Amino acid sequence: MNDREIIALYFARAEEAIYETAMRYGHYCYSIAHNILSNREDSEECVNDTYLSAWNAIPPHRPERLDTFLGKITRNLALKRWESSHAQKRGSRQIALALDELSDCLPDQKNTLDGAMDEVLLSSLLNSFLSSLPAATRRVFLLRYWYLYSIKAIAKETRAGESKIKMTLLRTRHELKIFLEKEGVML
Amino acid sequence: MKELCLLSALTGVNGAYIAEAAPKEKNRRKISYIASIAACLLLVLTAVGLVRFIIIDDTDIFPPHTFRAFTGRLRPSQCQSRIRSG
Repeated sequence: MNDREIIALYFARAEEAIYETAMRYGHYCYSIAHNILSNREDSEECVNDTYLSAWNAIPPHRPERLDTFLGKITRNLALKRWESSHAQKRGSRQIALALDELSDCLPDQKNTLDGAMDEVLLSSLLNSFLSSLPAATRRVFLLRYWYLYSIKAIAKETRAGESKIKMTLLRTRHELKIFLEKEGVML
Repeated sequence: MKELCLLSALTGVNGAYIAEAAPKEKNRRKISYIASIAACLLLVLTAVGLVRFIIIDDTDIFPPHTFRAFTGRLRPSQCQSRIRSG
């Protein structure tokens, strides 16, 4: 069953839509959640919450791409869950490492404008930054900071050496920092 | 947490980029599919080999040298002929 047919099931309010979504994108959503949470039960709950959110959102929303729509919901839910679990000193090692790496990208306070940056605006700036990157670099960056893959897993996925991946990420983070400073971003 | 804010903002980036970066799940499935076919084939060949070892003991399908190569033993007729020849 393709995406269009699954979305049609949602619009018809047929519960089969959930089953078909799970069949087609269950593993995809689970891997996103698991890379953030590193816990089977939490990840499964997160994926189930994703199905519920999709059920509530469609209709009226009609996603252009069902995979990324579900992936974004899963990522949001998993990050929220991670935040609450982090308060209890639990959580994934990958996200802790990713956050540590991303601290390099944060602009210096003195060079930035006043006022906190709106998340939607920041997403749009990140879109501009990503569009300026070569496709291969963009993929490595997103595998690390969107899918939260480990360096080793990215190297395997892209068939490149781990040192090359580390260097690519280091350069991209540096470019991102310069880009955000130019845009006057303050987080 | 500022880093988390940046990480959260990444969720909202263009879906096309996310899809482009998605891990190649289909390839992995294809590889595991091929691996399972290979495993089945190996299982069938092993089963056929075992059956041949068992059945060959009582049949004359293969010439003696092939039989010896398979089993490392002599057939009863070969034993008799060796006894006769001293």
